[in-house]
Amino acid sequence: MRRGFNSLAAAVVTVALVEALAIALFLIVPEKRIYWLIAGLTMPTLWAGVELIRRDRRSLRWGISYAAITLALAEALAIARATGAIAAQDESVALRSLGIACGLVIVFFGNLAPKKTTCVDPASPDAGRRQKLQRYSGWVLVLAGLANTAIWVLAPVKQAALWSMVPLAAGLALIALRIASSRATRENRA
Amino acid sequence: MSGVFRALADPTRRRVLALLREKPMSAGELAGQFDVSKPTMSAHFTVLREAGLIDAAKHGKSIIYRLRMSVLEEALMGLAQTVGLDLGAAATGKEETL
Repeated sequence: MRRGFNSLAAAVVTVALVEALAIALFLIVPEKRIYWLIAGLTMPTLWAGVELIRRDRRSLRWGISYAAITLALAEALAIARATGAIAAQDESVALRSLGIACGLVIVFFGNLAPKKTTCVDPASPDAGRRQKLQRYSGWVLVLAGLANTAIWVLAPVKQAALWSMVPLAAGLALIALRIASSRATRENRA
Repeated sequence: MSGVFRALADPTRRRVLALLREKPMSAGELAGQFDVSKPTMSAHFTVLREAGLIDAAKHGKSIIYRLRMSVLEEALMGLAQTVGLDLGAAATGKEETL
């Protein structure tokens, strides 16, 4: 299989899903068409930008797929609300389901992060450091995603919306700190 | 997935993966860490590559191996190492010899 095909296929499928749902929303809820227009234009615009960047295009495409899945989930929820599939009193169930789904998407992509990001030249002297960073980021994202999912499963919905952000923010902060300290170590060695 | 279990079942292959966790290494560097013949090491590399746990890149005259494990696969390796489970026998139904 050609290198990069999987990331391209994932981006095509997920962005097409976002577009299909945006068109459906455009037809079902025409009074909010400006929102659906923005939702429909965001992913293709971002993706076009990614394709213009030559460096590490594969991992950027995986990022686009992740963003597209999250947006598609939100669109699916809006369709369910508009068509009455979710009654107003069941809104907390819908919100909880969306939170759980987003958490699981983070776990899924975090799990694959060390495997899919193969942009590092293995012969470069910096390869070990960058590989360790990728593995660390993958582990942190998986654990943050699991914690996020657990909060959405266990906590009351109103609190979950706030508290579920804590593990994600902490995870991103840990990754940023690790990148900064790793760069500082490399520069000190140089 | 049975390919992953088979690859993780062998202690030599697990040690190869543990070494590659530090940094990508050439086939020669890796082989130097083990007291086994080159064809045996080569067979181990093939099993790991077919399971998708490592990938190889040609650099000049040498082949450089690099880790390609997901978080779940790393967790499975940690479990196999800690508990000493014979995952390969479970996956293939027989003991493996190289």
